[in-house]
Amino acid sequence: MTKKLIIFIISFLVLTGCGVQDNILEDLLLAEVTGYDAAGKNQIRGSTVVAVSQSGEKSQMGKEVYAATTHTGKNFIQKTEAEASKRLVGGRLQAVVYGEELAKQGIYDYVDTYRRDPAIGRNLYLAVVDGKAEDIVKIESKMLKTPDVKTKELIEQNSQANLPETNLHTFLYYYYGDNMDPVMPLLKQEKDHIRVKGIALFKNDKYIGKHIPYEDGFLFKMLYGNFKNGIYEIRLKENSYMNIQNISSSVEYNINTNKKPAANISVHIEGSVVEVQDVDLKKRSVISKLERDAEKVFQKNLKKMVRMFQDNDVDPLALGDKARSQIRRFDKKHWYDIYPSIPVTVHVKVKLVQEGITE
Amino acid sequence: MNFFKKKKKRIPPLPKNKAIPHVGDPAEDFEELFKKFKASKDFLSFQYPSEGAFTVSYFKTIVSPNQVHKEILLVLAEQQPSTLIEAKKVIPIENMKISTDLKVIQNAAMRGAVIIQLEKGNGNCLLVPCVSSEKRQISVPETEFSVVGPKEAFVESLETNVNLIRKRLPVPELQLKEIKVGKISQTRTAILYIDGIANHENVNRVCQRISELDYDTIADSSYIAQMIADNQNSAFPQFIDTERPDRAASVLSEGKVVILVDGSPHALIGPASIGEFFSAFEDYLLNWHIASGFRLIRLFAVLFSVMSTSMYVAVITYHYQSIPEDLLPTLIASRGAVPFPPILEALILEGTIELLREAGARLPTKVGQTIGIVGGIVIGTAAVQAGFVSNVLLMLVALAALASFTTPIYQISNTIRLIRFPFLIAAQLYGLLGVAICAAFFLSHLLKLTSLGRPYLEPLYPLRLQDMKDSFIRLPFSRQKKRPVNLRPEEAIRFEPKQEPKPRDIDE
Repeated sequence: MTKKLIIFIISFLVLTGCGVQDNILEDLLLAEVTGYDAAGKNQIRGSTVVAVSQSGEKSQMGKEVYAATTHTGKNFIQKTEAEASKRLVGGRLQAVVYGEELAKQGIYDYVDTYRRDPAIGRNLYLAVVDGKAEDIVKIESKMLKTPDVKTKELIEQNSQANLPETNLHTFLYYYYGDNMDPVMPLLKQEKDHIRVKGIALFKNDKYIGKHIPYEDGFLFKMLYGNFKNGIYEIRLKENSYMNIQNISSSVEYNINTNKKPAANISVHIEGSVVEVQDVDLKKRSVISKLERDAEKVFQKNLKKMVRMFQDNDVDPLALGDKARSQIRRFDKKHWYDIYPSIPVTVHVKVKLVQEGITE
Repeated sequence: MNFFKKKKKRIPPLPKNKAIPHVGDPAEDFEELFKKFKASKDFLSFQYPSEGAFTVSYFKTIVSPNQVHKEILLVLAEQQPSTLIEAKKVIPIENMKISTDLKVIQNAAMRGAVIIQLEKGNGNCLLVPCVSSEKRQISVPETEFSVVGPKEAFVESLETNVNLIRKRLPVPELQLKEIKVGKISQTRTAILYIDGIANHENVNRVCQRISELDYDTIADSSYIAQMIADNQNSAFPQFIDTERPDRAASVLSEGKVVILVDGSPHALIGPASIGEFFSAFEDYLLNWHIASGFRLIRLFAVLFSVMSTSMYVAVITYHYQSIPEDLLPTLIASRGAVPFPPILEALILEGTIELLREAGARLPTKVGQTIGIVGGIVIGTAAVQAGFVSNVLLMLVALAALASFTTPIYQISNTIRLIRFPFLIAAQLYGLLGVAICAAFFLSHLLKLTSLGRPYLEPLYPLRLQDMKDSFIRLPFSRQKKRPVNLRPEEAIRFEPKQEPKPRDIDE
């Protein structure tokens, strides 16, 4: 008993050095948004905005930007520590943005590093910046009205309506999956705030330089999967527009398994009319006419969008993957060759529902 | 490795003879016994009614003077009996004894008997029990107060306590065994059980453990609870102590064993499982879903009380990643001004709370309240304003203290008070991993723990679903057809459900 006690006490004295490195919350600089830009000569310029707390009765958060030019993505954090007063950690990173130029060269290496970091979750938002990523990071540091991270809030909020859900997990899923390509939100700096410009299209990990405009994000989401929310404006005729609010939309892909594959996409959308000009909504016949008109507009636009994907040889809708799930003995290499020339038909069925006190 | 080898224990030689007299041992002869008695000022011995008649002797502080005057002295004077046998016939008191055994005489005298001898007797004594015992009135339960239900609580007198139970269970099967414990105190300890329901293994186990106790003074039932516990080194109480006779009566009919100790207003109930420490008797007085809800709240409160500060320390020290985004600025701002690392901050606050609690418990009620207000409001606010502790932690610690008061059994709330400190230290060492390791240690301890040989963690482990009906939730009485399996009752069925008549809206 005494011996056990002696060993116990000695271990207390001797093993005090064996510990884990602690990360006490207020002794850290928490990176919130990191941006990567191409800096020429195989170098990149990384910049990050960190939250700096001011202790006191009320919680006040200042923000600071650190930037450095290095060869690898993570090394810049090490370089910035030369200027930082506290240790810079990435565990609270909310969004990573990539400059247009770097995105065109391929961003896989700079995404992969986050995949390997155990401190980072899979719901990290990724985005492409129309222009330089550093600008977004700098703007972010000036947004002090809310303590939250603006870039993240922006993407998160828009994912409800016009943007598809895109985070580290979905990016990696679409990147590693055969016959599909990832998408990312395209951000743009506008004077002193950030705006979502649209959905950036990727071929593997390379930004192809084209994007779906923000307004058409609704159309993209109709094809991307089932969703709710979102408002779309339909031009009925000259000077006459209708706003449809989406209540629920479901999409179904049919790819026939003949020698010559052809895809048929059918979308069912149930929506309510938010606003319409010069139309009497009391009559049932008028509503069914509106439905036909909307269907026509949707079909035309959706077809145009799919055509655009095929022309650029990108597959953000994962048509190839859907074909694989429906065709026995699917040949993915052959699919790559024929993808741009597959005939795709889109059928849209619109149902307008009255809401509010008019009903 | 000589160092790690166990040394052989040397057995000390047994003492050869008991030459030295111990306290409480019977005297050698009659003279010596009376010499011992007379050493005390309150021992009276006189000749009555006349010189050369009877010698009457007693301790005047423990006999009832009225009874001595009216029923002994008066009778002796009027009836004039000539022998002890005659005296025994005329004195109107039950349980009288004629004995020459010195041990019997000594015990009787010390328990309030009047010794009557013939003046030139041969050591033959008539022992007339004439005890006067001071009792407290039956009062309202304090630690297990309930708004509805009976308001009686046990008192210090064993007879009164047995009476409180017997009047609730008027069956001859309610049996009582009495064992005297303690060499000096000779405390009467009663073991109550219902013959035919309680498992005899449980009863025998209690009887054996109590009769084997060797201690000088037993002041309270909690002495016995600690001494007969299966694992005396455990922080967890292995007997439920209750001051409610209604609770004692209802567990007796479940097949449990109740231990009452003379001089203690708390009954012990065994075997106990951990769930029962979080069930108040009031749960049976409320509707079953309400009671189940409250039990779950209590369980949550206990978990919160044990874990909250250690979680805070673990998260602030190691896992900044897991803090919700909206909470981050608040936490950073409140921590920013604090000059201590989180563990020290937590230890200071926990220490303060324990200090307040201990001070409040040792002081009279009215002063105790003041301490609570001074401590809670003044010290708390001042500590935050001085930047000693963060207000988030202050809130957590206060809530944890509050949560630990929700347990209906006082003993377990002390355990909860104590076991959060190992968790706190483990959190500082290895973060959430440390908390998990510490929890694993406690869980394995609980798994091994037994109460009177019955598993402590039942019905969780071993999993006995039929006992879940009255553990963490309480199902309605119609579902309580069987007694708890854990107790292995000799009669398992509590009631035979009658064929329920179909409910009718209209009487025909």
